[in-house]
Amino acid sequence: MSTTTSAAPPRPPKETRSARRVRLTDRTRKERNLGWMLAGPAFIAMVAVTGYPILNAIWLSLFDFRLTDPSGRSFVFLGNYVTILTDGLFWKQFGVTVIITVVTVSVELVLGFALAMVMHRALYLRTALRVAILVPYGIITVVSSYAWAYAFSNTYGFVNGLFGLGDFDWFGGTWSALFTVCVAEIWKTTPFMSLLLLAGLAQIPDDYLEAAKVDGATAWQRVKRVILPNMKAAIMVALLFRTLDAFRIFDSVFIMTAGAQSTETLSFLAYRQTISRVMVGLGSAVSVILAILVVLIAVMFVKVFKTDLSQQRGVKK
Amino acid sequence: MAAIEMRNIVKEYGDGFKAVNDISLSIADGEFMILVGPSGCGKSTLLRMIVGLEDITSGDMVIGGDRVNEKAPRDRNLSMVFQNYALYPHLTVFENIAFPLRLNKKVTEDEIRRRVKEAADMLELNEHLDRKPANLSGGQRQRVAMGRAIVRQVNAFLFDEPLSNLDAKLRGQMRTEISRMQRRMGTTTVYVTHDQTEAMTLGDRVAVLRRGLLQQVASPRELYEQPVNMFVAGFIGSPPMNFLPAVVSGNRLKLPFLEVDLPAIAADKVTDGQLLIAGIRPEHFEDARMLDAAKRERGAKFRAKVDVTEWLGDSQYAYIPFEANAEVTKQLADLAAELDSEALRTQLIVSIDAMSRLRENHEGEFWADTTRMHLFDPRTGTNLTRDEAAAADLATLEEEELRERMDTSSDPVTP
Amino acid sequence: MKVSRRTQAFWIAGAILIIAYAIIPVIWIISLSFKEGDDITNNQFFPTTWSWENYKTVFASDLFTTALRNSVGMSLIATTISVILATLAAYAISRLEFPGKRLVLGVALAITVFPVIAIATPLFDLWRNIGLYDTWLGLIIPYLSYSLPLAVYVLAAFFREIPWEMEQAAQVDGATAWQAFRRVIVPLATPGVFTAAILTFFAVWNDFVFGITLTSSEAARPVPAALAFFQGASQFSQPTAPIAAAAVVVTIPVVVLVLLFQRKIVAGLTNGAVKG
Repeated sequence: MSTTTSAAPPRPPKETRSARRVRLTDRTRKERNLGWMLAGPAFIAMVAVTGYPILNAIWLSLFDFRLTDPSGRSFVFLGNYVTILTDGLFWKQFGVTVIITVVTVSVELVLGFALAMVMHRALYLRTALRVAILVPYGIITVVSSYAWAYAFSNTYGFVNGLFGLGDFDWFGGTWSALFTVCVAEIWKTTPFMSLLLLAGLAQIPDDYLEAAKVDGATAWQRVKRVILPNMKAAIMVALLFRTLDAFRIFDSVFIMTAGAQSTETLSFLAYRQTISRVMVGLGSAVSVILAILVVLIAVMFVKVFKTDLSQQRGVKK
Repeated sequence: MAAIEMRNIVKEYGDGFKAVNDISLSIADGEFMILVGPSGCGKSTLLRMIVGLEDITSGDMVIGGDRVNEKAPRDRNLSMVFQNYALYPHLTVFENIAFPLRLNKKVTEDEIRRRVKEAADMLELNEHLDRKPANLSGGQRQRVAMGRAIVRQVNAFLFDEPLSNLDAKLRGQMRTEISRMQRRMGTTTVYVTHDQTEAMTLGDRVAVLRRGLLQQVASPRELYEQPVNMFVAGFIGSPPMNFLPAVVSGNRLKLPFLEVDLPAIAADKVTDGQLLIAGIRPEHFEDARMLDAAKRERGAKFRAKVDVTEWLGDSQYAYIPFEANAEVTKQLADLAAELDSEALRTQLIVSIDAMSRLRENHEGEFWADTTRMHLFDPRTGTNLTRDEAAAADLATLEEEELRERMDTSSDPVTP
Repeated sequence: MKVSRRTQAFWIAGAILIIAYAIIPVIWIISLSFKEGDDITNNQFFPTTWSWENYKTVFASDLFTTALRNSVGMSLIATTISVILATLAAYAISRLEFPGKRLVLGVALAITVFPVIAIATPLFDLWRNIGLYDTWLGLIIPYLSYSLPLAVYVLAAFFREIPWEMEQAAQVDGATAWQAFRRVIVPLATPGVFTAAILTFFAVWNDFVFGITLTSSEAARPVPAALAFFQGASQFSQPTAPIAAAAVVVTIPVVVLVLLFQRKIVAGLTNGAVKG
């Protein structure tokens, strides 16, 4: 970081026109070099660790390869993908993942918006609110998973006692187990969502709301017709971030149910195939499918987002 | 202190857009030069090329006899006041002003203290030296920025719209302050603004720019009285000059409401029946009933219906709508758009005596000083009535004034 | 906006609800960690007697103390390196024009999008081959690559907010590029770097996937992973309460950071997300 861009060293005053042009490109070249000198280390650190494994995963996904039996490794091309995509279990886990994603993200959006509204409007307790909201965000996922797992447990927990549910075993059935996972996930990530929404909310000038009030809008109409349309960008960003995260849910499932009662998600499947069952080829294929799905979701969001933004701009002009 | 010489300066961007197009301008040692024009005219770009924050595509930038095109800003020995002041938020007022001195290892601590003290005295900042910029008012920040500029001996001061973030009252005070400081220190100054009051009051000379091209460089008085074209005429003066369609008819000129003799100076530049645009400033009109007898002879009288009047206590404006053909209307709308204003309707703005009791929606009798009228070619915008001899006189006058001032202030002023 | 007393009461009620929402699970795990004997299975929120027993168990266990040491050590190292690299990169991205800038940003984005698990399994394979499996370095490296994008976004958003005029003014004032950077940019960027460091620390401290896939022993296993394998005082007793105690211990740094720097954390999170 020892030089910046626009500082060119002094030069003898006599120069021909062509020499001057070289001088300019010289300066741009310097800037480019500096750019790479500064960004290079971070770039290498990011690519070195992810580039090879990603390519390696794609490569391995084309083999029937069990770690305990390296000699039996054989090239099966898309065989693993066929195996996975024709397996009912995969689709079931895909379904579980989608359900968790849809449920958690939609609840988080509504809840997060309410949280953001309160944080935006409350005149007192602001610091306390900020601290409170950051605790779930900062807490380790594994810890929050344990807290909720124990809370719902019929041996240790208080939830059954509180609601008079007796000995009900939350982790004994698919839906109730998924419910607990969703609760834990929602609790931990709603604050992050609400902070993103709060940033959007804070950008709406109070004038808009006052104007709407003067125009005779009720509180609900103000939210629906003034606040929400002006927060579209923030909502989309928050949804994108959270959907991608929720789709890759792993930690809480691992801790809370360990995949029992058909609560396995796609990340969990990938983990189990590779690490526990050492089916590296098959596991890699699951990872690749998961990655493709995540990218698809991201692209979808960005597409919707872009058309939306351009439309908004079109209307404004 | 040094003279600044620009020769054929061009700034061309990657897409071929020329923000500054072949500008040549000489600024004398000690002169206060204003760069003025509507937004996007290239005035700020030109200033940034002088200081070295912007590359020069072609041309020569010479400061104090040295070509500085390739020099880094820090080697040009200039100081600049930015539009947003660019005060360092993490430093106190004292350290902000001392910043340029601290970069030079040779300046001793005592020397720094003395010079900052002097600058702070001049700008009345002594009580605020320990405060951070965030705790200062807009006017105080502005003064800190100036303190940082004057604390060392520089070749020139550069100002980039320094007063645009202040409210009207403060702007007036700071304007006087800047003027006083420049006169006292006698340092060459280049000042960018879009405010014509600043342009008229501060500068020895004013350079008017339009779309990267230099329109006219002259003293404020010359710009006002002898503009070279319609753009300069419309830009200088507030409310702006009225533009009316005028048709040549023999040696007479037909305008809406009135008919006058064709000025002799334009006679051989026009043909019979040609459409021209006549420019008359609002202040060259008067309510005929309030007129001095002495003035009456110089102009023409006409009757017109007043649409709206604005009474301001010390002055009064009347608005008189008129019909113009499509060509003229379009020409005027284009000019207005370029001057950052909007031409909603073709109307005459006339300044009348504050005592006048003209009523809205009634007809009144007006007088216009037609000797001060200018005629413009509607296609090129060229002023057909510019009096070169008078303009030269004004230029000489301005030059003498500057020389006289430089001589009296030549006693060494240490900032 | 003017707010009536009644509406304000409504918002205060909302605020109290939110605080309860955020705090109750935390208090629950704390109170569980203080339970002992029959209290553990009493299905009550609070213990009848508060006991330090579980904390003693946890700190007597090598498994936990080494995991804690691993977590603290690796998180600090990874955070430090990550923030230094990210500061340089973010400065370049927000201030300089160079070919491949979009590539750097694209790679950063791709990494945030790519599932950790999809990286972890091939890394498991690779690390075993080159001997990085179950070592500190073997975890610090992936921590770096996964925390860098976040740090770069947060810092780039921060650098973008430092007005260009600051550097230009310094240059005109006679500063060399280095002086401008040292005397103007660095002091102005410090709060941003600090915020990025906290967020990076949170991210790394939270890691679970790499922790369980890339370790097999105490040599490098971080706390979250160790918690999942925690056995308690004896093989036969359920380790619920000790796990709760351990969970509370690893939550303390988070709470302390939040208490001290809540304002900065919120600003960093929202800036990076909305503008990055």
